[in-house]
Amino acid sequence: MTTQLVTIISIHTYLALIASAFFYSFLIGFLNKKPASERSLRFKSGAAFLASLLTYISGWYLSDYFVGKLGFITEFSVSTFVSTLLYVQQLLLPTIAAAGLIIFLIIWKKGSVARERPLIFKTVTALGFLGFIGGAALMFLGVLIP
Amino acid sequence: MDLFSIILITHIIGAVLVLGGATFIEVFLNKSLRDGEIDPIERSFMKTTISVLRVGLFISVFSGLGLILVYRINDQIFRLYDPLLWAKFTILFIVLVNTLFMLTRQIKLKYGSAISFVSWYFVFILGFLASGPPYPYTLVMMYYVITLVIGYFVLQGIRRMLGIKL
Repeated sequence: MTTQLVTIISIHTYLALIASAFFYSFLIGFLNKKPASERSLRFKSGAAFLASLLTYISGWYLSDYFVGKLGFITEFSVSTFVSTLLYVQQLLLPTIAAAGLIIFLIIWKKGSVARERPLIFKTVTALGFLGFIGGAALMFLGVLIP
Repeated sequence: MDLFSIILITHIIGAVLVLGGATFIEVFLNKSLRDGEIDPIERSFMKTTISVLRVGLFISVFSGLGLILVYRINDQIFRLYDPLLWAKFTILFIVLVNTLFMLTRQIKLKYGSAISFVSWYFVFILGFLASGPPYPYTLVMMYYVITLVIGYFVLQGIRRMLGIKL
């Protein structure tokens, strides 16, 4: 395994872990009966967005390496496990970055009002869960794709 | 000392902090609820213990990923398909989701605390079993559910003995 690939995999998996951790930390602060301060929620959602964006960029580098240099195919296929993993990875990368951006914008614009309106509350919670689970999945995909 | 040993020691330190934190959260919770309410000092102790648990969790997850990367880099990817490892991840996920449910009061404290307490011990034990013979994933999860049920009744029994109503 080349040093370049080791570096990309390490950076990508740790960024995915950090993104997932910030999404989770945001959810803890947001869902708590005594919610975290508006400043703390803004910071956590911003950090989750930034980490997920960096995961997206590093993930594309990684995919580019697999597809461009190693010639892997990215499509949903039951018979070829690696192609499916790459396919899922490429779906998740923009999804968590988008989830991070939407949460960040909602919290930035609405602040504590986001907790009071049921629709916004449910949307933010669902996106937070998506970011948390998606980040964890990307972390595993980063190391599992051979 | 090589990199693997350093990461492994860090991982164990993190796991010990988590287990210690989970144990003391349960002890403080039962001690504080003996008089039916949690006063500010008891709350402060609980908060500190939860912080210790979170730090331990961060250390063990961060170093755990390091261990996985070392396996990946050394072409020992077969280790990542160990059912015990995936059982560990599943239980960790259950604990994290359980915490969110407890925060939103979707789950009663008596169930939530039992899930959290038993799961941390189970994950810790699984960590030591990982170097032994392989067990099927479903069997491990079945043992986990049985342990969870037994653990819940044992904790409830202890609470009843101490006169705590949860």
